[in-house]
Amino acid sequence: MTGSFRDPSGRLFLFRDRALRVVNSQGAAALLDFLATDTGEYLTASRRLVTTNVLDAATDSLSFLIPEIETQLHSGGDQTLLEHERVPVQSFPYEWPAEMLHAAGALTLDLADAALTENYLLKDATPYNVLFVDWRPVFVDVLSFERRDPRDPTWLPFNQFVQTFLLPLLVNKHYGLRLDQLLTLNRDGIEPSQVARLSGRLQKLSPLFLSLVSIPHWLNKQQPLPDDAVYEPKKTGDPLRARFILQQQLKRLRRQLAKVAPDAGATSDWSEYMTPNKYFSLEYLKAKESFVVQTLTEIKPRRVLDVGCNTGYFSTLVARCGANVVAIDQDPEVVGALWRRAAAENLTILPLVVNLARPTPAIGWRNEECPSFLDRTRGVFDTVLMLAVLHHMLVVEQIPLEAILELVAQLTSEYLLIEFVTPDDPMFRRLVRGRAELFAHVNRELFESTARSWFEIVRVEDLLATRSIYLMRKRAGVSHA
Amino acid sequence: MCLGGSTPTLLTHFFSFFIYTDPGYGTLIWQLLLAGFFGGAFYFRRVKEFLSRRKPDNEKQ
Repeated sequence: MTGSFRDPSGRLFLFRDRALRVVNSQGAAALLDFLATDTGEYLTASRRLVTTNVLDAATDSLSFLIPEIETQLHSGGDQTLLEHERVPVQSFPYEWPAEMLHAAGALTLDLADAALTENYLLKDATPYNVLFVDWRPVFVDVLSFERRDPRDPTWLPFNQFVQTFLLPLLVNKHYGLRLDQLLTLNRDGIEPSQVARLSGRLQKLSPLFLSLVSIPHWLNKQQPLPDDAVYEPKKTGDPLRARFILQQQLKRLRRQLAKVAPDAGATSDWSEYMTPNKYFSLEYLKAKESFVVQTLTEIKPRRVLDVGCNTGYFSTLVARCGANVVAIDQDPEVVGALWRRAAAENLTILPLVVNLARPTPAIGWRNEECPSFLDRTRGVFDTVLMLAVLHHMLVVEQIPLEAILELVAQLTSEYLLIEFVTPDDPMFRRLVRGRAELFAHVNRELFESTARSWFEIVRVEDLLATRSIYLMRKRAGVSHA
Repeated sequence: MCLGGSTPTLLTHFFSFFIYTDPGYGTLIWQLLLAGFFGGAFYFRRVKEFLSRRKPDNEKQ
């Protein structure tokens, strides 16, 4: 079981397929009052806010089965037990392309604006408050809503929003720094002083950098006011004025968020990979597509992992056949392009920047706050797609064939759709770069005999002399462990 | 999920609810300066609305 612990108003517990939260009386009162407002109901109904139900702790059997929940319920004062809709696959900001971080930031500002109409505000503004259901961002940290003092014009999470949304997007856009690397190491985002070191003199004077970087950095260095003067609440006499100021601050943040949005046409070396070229023809692509579509019609998968999804050509096919897809690739640009497409066409795809050869690890306090990608996805998928990716893992990542197939057998509960490429394939030879002897033993017979340790081969089709596509079914008795 | 605050005891004294997100220093002062600007804009807008309401009345006279 995993859970969160930082919010003093309550604790979240994730147990099997349930998301349970124990909240103290103050937190519960504020939360339930907000959810009962027109705005709270609208946000929940429109699925931008996770659903919340109150449970009767005295009769819900689960609370007695889990000692940690029972302890929390009896930790002092009135405690309320809530249950939320469980998001099928958790993902974290360091697995998102820039497009998804931007969408999470936009949702945060939308909710802050909406809450203001009911005289509430968000008490924090971190990307960890947001999860994605397919392409759609959902705000899950319901305890973030709190009643505000009508005369207070200050939004204290302003700094957190700047450091965890705006500045990472700024450095990604202007310096090409990868968000997965930045946000894995920096849970609290990045500070203006760190960006100031990267910026040129003229750049520091541009309006966006002046506001987000240069002025805050300069003020931090100068320390013009003592701490108690800075942190003392600044109330206005006029609630309308306080609300106007907050609305303008949020508008300003929204404009800045628009300015750091990733470019729609951003490309990488992998963006054209699926375009027929000198390595493979349109006929090959169509034959592969036909095999995949026929297979999907036959096996009707519900939850699919597409490994090495690239721009999502096959993820899209799978989603259109009615499955929920988690599509992973190591390249942020192609994953970002796939997210844009999924959002535009409302496809049931969750695209993530994950390299299966080096999947995101467990991080956070005691390596328990944010479980690893493999732990979060164990038992989730009934089908795994590995199309034109196996040879990349063999050659580039140098993972042994047996180890790859063993991992895949843990990831899928039933089917594997996999493409095998022989060492004499032009793309294989291109990757090998003079190390052909290392892979001379790799052939179709070896691949099939290795796979049979975990799978039975249902069907195979030769797409080219050097490429074959297989539908495999996991053998009975092979576990996820 | 939330981030831990760096100076919770200092902030608890001033607010009726527990603040645990780091408001920063330079960014907070910048926010306060912007708030002063927007506060001025609020009154400027009110004066402008008041004057534009008065003008049609004066024209009728």
